[in-house]
Amino acid sequence: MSCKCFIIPQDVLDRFAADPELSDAIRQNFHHSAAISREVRALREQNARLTLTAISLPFPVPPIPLPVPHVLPVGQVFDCHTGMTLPGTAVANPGSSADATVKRAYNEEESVAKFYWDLFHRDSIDGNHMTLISSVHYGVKYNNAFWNGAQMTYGDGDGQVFADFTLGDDVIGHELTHGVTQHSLGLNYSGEAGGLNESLSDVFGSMFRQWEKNQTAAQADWLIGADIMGPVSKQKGYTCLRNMANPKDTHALAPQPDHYYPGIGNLDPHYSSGVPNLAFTKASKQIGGHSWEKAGQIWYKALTGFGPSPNMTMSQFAARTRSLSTSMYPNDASIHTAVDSAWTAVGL
Amino acid sequence: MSDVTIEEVGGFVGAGTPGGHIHMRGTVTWSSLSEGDRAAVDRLFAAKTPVNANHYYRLTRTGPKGAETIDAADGTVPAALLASVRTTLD
Repeated sequence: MSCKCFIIPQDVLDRFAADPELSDAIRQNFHHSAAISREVRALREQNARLTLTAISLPFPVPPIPLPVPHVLPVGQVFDCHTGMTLPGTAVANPGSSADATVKRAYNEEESVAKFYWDLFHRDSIDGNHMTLISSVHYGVKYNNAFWNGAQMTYGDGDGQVFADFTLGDDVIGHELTHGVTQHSLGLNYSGEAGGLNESLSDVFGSMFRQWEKNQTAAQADWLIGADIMGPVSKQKGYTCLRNMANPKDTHALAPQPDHYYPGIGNLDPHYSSGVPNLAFTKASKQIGGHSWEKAGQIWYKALTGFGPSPNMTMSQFAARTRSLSTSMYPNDASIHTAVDSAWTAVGL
Repeated sequence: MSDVTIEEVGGFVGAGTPGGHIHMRGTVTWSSLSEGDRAAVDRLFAAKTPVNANHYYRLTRTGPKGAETIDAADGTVPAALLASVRTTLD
């Protein structure tokens, strides 16, 4: 992890320490500063490695006693005021803010927390009542949203290609789910694991959107990013960023493959995610009802029930869901049939 | 040193996928960068630190050693480069 936390860069200190035009005393001072800086940087990097290792180990986490009834985790919203330094300025009472973007970010992050609790009994992103943090108005007309490992960040969009990213409840569900994945399956962002990581965010992001609209799998449009399409995108005929039900959709800004092939893991995770996205969609539709009732439960268990697997392959994930479809629903063979045929249809 | 091109990778949008219609790229001339920003970019290219993140930037430049491309994490790229990124549709 590169660090730019020192005011004076290391190479500047080293250069002055070796500058023959400076006095011995001054050079000695720079030499000492360079030596100390080098060790402090190493200490900081080691600390970062320690943190990453700690959260990957299966140490039991003592449960925080939950109040009865369950209280949603604290949600915070910060305003970046078009700057790009996170988290920005804390907004007091974001749920009643006059700023619609702030209010949406707060209300929807709390709604995602409720989604995970009500449907999966998961207490916030980490399963341990973690405070939710969102930063809005990031950058100038910034056309993206992302999870940075600790918080969500949303741009306002340029108003042409994209609208305000907080307008998409699937956007918010998608980003928060990256946090869930980080604290459970721990998938990397490269290879087939990266495609699974992106897919799980689309899966639960879409599921969240369907839950808010109380849609069945048959009623859902399975489009990702439909609510953030700007006028220019719509004018050109684009209806979404990705289409889970039809990954190759030509109306999607970013069409994806709909069938697995060896080497797919070498491509961008936002591309390869089309395959597992379609598998979930097919399984949900074939099972019927709401996507979160059975297929969502299987996918959630596959995501959170077995500890970290950073380099998991799509084949391994498919096998896990097939196995779970039987163990979780032993008296209903149709569930396994739906999951099995869905993966078979996409080549896994 | 040649111009530095920057490409935004990942995040919700995931621009730049094969066959994708959305691109988020920018270019900055080396001479227009401040001395501090040039030093920061030099450090990024020297470190070549692997990035394992949902969202990051890909920088490319051509120098005495030929064309080089690196990935840079959020928070490490100079603001002048970030400000050059533009979204285009095809």
